[in-house]
Amino acid sequence: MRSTDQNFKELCYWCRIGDVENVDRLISTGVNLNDNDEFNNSPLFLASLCGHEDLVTLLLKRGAICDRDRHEGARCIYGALTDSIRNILLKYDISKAVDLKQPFAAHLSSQLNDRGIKSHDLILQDRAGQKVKLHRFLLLARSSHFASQLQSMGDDHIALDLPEDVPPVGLDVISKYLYLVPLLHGISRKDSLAVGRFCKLLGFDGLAEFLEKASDLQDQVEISKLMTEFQHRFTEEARKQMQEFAATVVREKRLVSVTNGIPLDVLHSMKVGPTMPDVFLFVRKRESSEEGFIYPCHRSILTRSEYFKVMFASSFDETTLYRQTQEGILDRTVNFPVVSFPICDCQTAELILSYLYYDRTDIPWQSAINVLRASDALLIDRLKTMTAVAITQSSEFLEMHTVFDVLDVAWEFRLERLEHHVAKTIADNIPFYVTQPSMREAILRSSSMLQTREETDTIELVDDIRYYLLKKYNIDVEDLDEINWDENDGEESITRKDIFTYKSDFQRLENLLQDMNVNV
Amino acid sequence: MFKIQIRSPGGLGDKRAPSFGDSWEVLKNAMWMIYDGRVSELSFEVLFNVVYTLTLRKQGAELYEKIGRFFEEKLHELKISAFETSSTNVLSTLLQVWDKHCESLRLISDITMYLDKVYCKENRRQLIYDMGLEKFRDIILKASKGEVHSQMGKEINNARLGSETVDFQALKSLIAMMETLTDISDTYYLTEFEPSLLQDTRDFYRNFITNYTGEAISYPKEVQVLLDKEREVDAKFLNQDIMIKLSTVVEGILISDNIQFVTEQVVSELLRKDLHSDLRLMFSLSRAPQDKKRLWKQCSQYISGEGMSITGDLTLKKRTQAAVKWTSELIDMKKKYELVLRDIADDDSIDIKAVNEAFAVILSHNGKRNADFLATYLDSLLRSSAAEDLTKLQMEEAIAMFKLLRDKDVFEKLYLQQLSKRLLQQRSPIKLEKHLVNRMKEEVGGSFTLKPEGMFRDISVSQVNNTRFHQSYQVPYAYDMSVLTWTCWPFQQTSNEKQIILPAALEGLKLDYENYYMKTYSGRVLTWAYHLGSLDIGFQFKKSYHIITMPIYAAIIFMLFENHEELTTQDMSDLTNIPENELIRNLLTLAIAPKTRLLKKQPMSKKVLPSDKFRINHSFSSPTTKVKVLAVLSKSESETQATSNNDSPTAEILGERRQCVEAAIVRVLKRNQKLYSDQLFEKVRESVTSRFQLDPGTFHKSVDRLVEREYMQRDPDDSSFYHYLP
Repeated sequence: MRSTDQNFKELCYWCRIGDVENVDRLISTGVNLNDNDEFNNSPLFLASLCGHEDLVTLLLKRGAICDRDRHEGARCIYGALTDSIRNILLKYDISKAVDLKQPFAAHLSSQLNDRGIKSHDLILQDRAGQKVKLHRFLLLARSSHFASQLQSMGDDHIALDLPEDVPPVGLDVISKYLYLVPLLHGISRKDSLAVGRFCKLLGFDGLAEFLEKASDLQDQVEISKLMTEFQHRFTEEARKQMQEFAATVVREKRLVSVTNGIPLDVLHSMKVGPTMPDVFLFVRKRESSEEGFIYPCHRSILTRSEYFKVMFASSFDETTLYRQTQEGILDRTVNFPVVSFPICDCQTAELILSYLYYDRTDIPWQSAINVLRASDALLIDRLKTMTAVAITQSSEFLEMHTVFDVLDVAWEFRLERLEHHVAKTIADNIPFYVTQPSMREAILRSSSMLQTREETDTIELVDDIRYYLLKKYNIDVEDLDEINWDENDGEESITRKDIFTYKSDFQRLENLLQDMNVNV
Repeated sequence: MFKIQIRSPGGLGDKRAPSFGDSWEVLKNAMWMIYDGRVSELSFEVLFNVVYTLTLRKQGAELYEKIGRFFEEKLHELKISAFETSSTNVLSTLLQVWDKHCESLRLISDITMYLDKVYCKENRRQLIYDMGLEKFRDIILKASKGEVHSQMGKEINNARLGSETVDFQALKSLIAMMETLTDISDTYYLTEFEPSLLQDTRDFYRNFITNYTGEAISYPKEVQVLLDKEREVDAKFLNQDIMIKLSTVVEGILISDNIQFVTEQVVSELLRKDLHSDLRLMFSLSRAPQDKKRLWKQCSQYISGEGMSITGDLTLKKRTQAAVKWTSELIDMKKKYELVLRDIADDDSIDIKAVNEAFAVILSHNGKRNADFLATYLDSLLRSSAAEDLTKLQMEEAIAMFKLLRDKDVFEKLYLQQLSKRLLQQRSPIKLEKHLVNRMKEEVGGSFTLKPEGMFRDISVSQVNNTRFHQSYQVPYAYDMSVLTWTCWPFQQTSNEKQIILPAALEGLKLDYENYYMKTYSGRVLTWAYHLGSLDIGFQFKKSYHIITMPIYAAIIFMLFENHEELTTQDMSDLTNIPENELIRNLLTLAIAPKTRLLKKQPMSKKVLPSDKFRINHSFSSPTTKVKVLAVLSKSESETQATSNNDSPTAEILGERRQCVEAAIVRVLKRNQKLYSDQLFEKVRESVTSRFQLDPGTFHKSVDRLVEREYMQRDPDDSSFYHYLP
């Protein structure tokens, strides 16, 4: 696959540089972390060789393997730049049941037992009478077998029966598989035959394939290697299913007018529709427009946003419609509330939804500002960072927006990364920017922030620009002093030329400041 | 048809957003409604949006201040309505207000979430929730602090007294509240309430102690009941940490602060009445190490007191009997307390220590006599014909006592004397003797057992020689020689033995043996110690035949009558050359001692004069065939023994000690070259401690003598500093 290949190359690049956010973004596209590049380097090896401690931790958390009994793992440990990285690697090495957690997968797993907002709306039971509480939407998304059963069943039905020949561990295996809880190490050889049989029946082909392969293996190292591989496959499989499901959510949106309230029959028809929602999300077409779209959504997914989590866990008006049945699951026969989305733009809303449902992080630059605004309001910090990364990655963005717009955004949403990006951009083309009136404005704003922040005597923006000027010509502060010495040599060196250009750039900035009568 | 209304003010960054004043009105109303319990009428979306917009517009600081003032206002109002109008229990009112405030605060902080995350975090302000808690602490709790604390104290004391009406759930909630609230750098509970709680607890139990009227022996059980009760009460409303603190306080009051009563009355009484399970309880209740120490010390004191009250029964005529009685009583006592205290102690070492300390005290009191008694006890053990295992067991107990004895040299003196007698007279199994010596060696080291080991060697070498001698010479009599190395044996060397005239039969044997011995070991000198030997003589008296065992001198005298009918004392002296004192002693033995009167004396008086006449007493008879003639003690000897009865060691022992100390000083100083007086004393004390207790007086005298004899010298500048002189 070309695209993954490209992504992997990019991942390796960021691993060398040590950019945590970019790596996180790429992992969300489903890159196999345990792959090797053309020089046989794994991302983990690159990160530990280059001494990026945060990055090593992130890679391990996301499922990179460091097994010192194998060549790749041993190489990581020997290659580690610092002792503290080596210790991190050695500590992680011990865990056998590697938990390959993408953030969306971790969230799904937490929903299996989390009774915080009591959103389970289905009981799955086997013939022996064992029961487990689950979410209908996840069954719809992840199992065609259950999906068809659910669709033929009414809202007032609360339970689903398993086929007769499912072994006692079946219920546990199904729920863990659906919610992406690592389960492979928990299936004993004794059970694996029976489990494999009903997996095929339910359409859990990946799990069935694993059990078949594992039954031929004896070596524990081989088996855990296989487990890691399949656990990764399950996550990616689930991501695809959730992606499809999110697409269904979007497809099922309805245009409504709120002038006279939303007719209940619209909501009712959506409630029994193909996504079986337990909350409706309303997005206005435009600001103060009376029209907008309603999306059939799911509280247990929306709670990935801190905003919705608090909303649904609290006891404000939004939660008053929900009821529990006698069996302790959500009563689906009542009306579900409509909550509104803070940005009046469907595209943004859909991007946010796709992040929440399956961790989509490749934000098109056109929507970046809106996504940023929305994720700030909804308190989704990770998406905020990812979007900032998208802005810095995009060259088109600056064709449409000025760098000062970006600066506004950076200040408004407290994104240091963007502030640096702006400073770097300005430094790269300082002759142009010093002529811009917005530049003066920006410097003034930056210095006015200083009074409220009371940190140091400098203007942050100017400081950052100076720093990136040095970086631009690859100059150390010490170099400047040395060069002064051989100025009389008359010898033309590349460094000297750089220093010279640097100085003229620097002087431009100084002139501007002087002109503005700002003391730095 | 029913319609659902959308209440969201249409998207963020609404350019027509209301003014700060209007927004604040919305929020303020919402917060009032939250306090009124009408949260379900409010929209989270709308309120969150208000806070969000204000924060984004950089009006966070103003909003934050306003919310703070709102809390103050609201809490003042709650205070007035709840505390000043209702007359019910202040505690339950407080809890009601607390619960309401917390619930409202939680909901308010839900809607101010964005303010918390953005404004508070950037400006390092407290979160809204924490600010609300602090306002509660200052406005409500601190205002009624005195009353709340005293009410809670009262409730808790009621619970301790067993009141049924105490509301533990309320107490528990109050404590939880205090632990939630922070104050200065810690929780309100720790900084404000706990000191008062601990003080109340202290007062309560101090009061109990001052009014304690029960018997001393029931104190442990009472304390146990109190502690259990306290724990039971505490468990109902306190967490583990606080419970432990309170328990420690209560134990401190009941045990540590009351330790004088506990040791002097309770422990002594329990020991006196043999209430060992209560004693064990007392020990397990006293968990502080210094208390335990005091308890052990008390036990030790009590035991030594009891031990010292066992006085040697001097009314018993025979000293041996008194010694045996005293020693076995002491051993029994030791066994008893070891059993009792080992049961109490949680580790094995300490029980021995307390008992040992006690017995060291007992034994050092009246030290010389005790050492004698112990030696005598061992002597009687070894002479007894009891089964070997039993004897070994008893020996073990005696050795345990011996270990604790300080004046071991006093013991050694008598022990060696008794040992030599036993060996020469073959009165004890040699195996047991060796066993005893080995055990002593294990306990106190080799120097102590050098002499006994020499003695054993002499005995066994002599046995070999005897056998060889019998093989190579025709000896008509059973004849055992013991060749003794005189340095090992506690006898004075005799010098004039050569002049003694032996009966012909003995003279022959003597010459033969000398002959034999010189052949075997050339270059050695044999000196005969007749006074240590004995001889068996068979004799037909008128009525019966007897085999008489008697000392050699007595035998020489007796055998004179083979050739003489009657002899005077002077005659005998001339015929035998026996020294006069020995002659008189043996004559007293043979003619005066009632059971062994083999000779008739003329005149019949208790004194032997040179002119007295003796002849064989043919009418002698005895119930047994074998008769043993025991040498009577001459008057001067019995006198020295009598005077040695007092406590201070004899002059002889003191002399030995002096030598020992001087040797030790020289040894130590030679090794160290120079030392301060106290260091020197310490090292010397250590090196002689296995023999006796060094007192500073002896030490200083020895030092003075050594300085005089120039073995060492004082430093010219510092008289307490000594140098070794090579």
